[in-house]
Amino acid sequence: MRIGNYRRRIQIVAVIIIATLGLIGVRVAGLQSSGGDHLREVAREQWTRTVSLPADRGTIFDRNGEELAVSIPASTISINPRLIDDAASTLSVLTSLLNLSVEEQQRLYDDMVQRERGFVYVRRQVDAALGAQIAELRLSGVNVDDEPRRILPGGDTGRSVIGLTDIDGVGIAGLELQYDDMLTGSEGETTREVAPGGRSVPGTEDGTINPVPGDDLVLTLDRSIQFTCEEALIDQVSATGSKAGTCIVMDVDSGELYAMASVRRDQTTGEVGITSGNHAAVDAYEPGSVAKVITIAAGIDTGSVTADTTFVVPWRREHGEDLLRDSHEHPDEEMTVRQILVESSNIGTIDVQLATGRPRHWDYMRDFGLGEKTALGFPGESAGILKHWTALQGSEQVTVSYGQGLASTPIQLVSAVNVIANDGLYVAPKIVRGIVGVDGSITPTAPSATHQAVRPESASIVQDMMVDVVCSGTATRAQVDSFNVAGKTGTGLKAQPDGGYEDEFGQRSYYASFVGFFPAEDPQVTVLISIDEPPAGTINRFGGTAAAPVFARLVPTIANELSLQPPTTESACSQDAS
Amino acid sequence: MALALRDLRPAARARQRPSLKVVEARRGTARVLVAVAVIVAAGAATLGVIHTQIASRQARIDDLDRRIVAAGEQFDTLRAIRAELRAPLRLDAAARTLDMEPAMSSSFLPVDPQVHAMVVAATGRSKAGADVPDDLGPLDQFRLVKVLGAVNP
Repeated sequence: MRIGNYRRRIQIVAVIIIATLGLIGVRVAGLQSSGGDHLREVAREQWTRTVSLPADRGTIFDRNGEELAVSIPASTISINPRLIDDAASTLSVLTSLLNLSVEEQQRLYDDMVQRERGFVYVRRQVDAALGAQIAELRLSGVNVDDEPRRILPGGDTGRSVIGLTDIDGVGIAGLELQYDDMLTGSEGETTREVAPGGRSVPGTEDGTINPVPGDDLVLTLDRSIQFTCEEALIDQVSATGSKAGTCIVMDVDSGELYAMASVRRDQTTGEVGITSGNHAAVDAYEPGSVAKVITIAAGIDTGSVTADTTFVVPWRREHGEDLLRDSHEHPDEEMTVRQILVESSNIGTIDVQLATGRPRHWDYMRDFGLGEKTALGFPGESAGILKHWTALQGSEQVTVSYGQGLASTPIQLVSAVNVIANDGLYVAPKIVRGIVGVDGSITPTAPSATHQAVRPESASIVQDMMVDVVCSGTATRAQVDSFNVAGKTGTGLKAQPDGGYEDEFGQRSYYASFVGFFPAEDPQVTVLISIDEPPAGTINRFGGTAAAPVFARLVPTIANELSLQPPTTESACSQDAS
Repeated sequence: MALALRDLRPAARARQRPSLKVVEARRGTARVLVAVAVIVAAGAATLGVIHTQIASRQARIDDLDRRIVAAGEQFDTLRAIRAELRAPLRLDAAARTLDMEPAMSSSFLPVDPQVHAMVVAATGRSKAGADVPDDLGPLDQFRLVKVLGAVNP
């Protein structure tokens, strides 16, 4: 009986155990089959956190592979006030490490005490080592996340062109904006386990999707030439008391830009500095006498005039209701076309334009690239102003021949004069040389578009005239010892808001420029220098005095950087003299 | 009664005695069972070791991944520092502290071909040889690292 009871009890217990296990098994099977996925997901959300992994923004290099803009590792410190145990201690530690201001301390303390928000930035993009130091402390409720910082290692050099990004690393100006899609990679993400207190547990990363870094840009800029341009402009704008300055250095054959610099005087401090905007592509001014190069080239190319064709040129002439003048008074003078360009006669240039015919002259201006945006596609780039010849009214019909009544950007102007240096071939300016892909391979950008604007013979004649401009004309200050230089000065008047050329005080504002190329015998580089609003009452208001000396200063550096050597040691100017 | 009981005992004993017979010991089955047990134990141990190894090596891989990321970040930091050091702005400032000034003019001097030949002979380097870079430039270094990153994401 006792044995029977014993066995019965064992059987009952066994049945209970089996039944219990069966129930558990059924429950497990049920959980695994029907609601398992949902429950697993809920549990996972409780102990894991998915964080995005920022992609490295592409680097911007100059033509020699020097970094112009680069992203470096940095850390962003944030807090979750709801998880902070000791607000005062946490704040004290963060203050000592991050040098928080009193206002920042107060703001953070309020957030910590109120516990209303789940995420508050403490400091973004601090040094990565400092971020690691804070992470090591494992403060409850304090998060340290990677967030790269964008820097320009060369300081402000090239800033006008490179542009800038906002704190989130999104391009907002310049090439950073124009190529933002290309520079921005694809974010990755990873899931980490979270310890009590909200801290991530290192080494628990799971399901990581690696971020894909952005492509890198290799520009045509040469950092040294860019720097020298900016320095020379700052010095000249400061010395002359001007408002701003622009410098563009362009390869004659390829249209590649070695430098594109803009400086401007700060209206409050008076300091001259590199601009954040690319005024060389954005601002349009009347080009002044530099445009005479196009008029003379058009006249020669159409066969309407030759370099030796003469006109009797008075110092002033009435057109429509306006009395147009040369820059200085002179008797009626028989001038050759060469003299007209060398001495920069406005009236003589009108004669050449009229001999060519206004419609054909307008066609040439278009062929030289005026009136339309360049191939750069720079954000905010201006197309300038070039009215159709039938839309020009009054004296504008003829003043466009010497650069009044139209507007061009510096990049348009240097590209136009480069036509002469490049034997009549217009080549679109170019600033991106290649793109480095994710696999490290370089994809060169397409060569610049070209078209023949004037015949090579015509360009050669104008080149010769432009050498004379530097040797004996208005641009003698552009001469350099080692190279023969060709160029043309321009002194444009800036249009006032009312459309006239004088402000309410009767003062005129000038736009002085010089565009030249060298070596004159075999042009390699075309350079534009413009000085905006040089003092009106001084000798420095002219292109030959304000801009040409800057060109002369730049030539040695450009020649050195590009390993240019003069084709001849004979001076073109001394030949003229002899 | 006593006789009867005596007579019955052997018969009862005979009925109660199990019918035993000699059989061969099932040693083969035991060996199989032991072998299976050993194999299972060894398998379990092996699995344990393998899992341990996998975990250990995964930890090493994770550690290497972290070191690769750290090395990549250090590379970016160092090339930014190098770019700052090579920046014209810094070099210009450093040169000016040494009382150097930018060249405002340049002159080119013709070199006697014989002098040029003597220099080439003395140095053992031609112009073509001199153009070969001794090391990779910043862009090529960067591309090399990027290639490695693409191969081993």
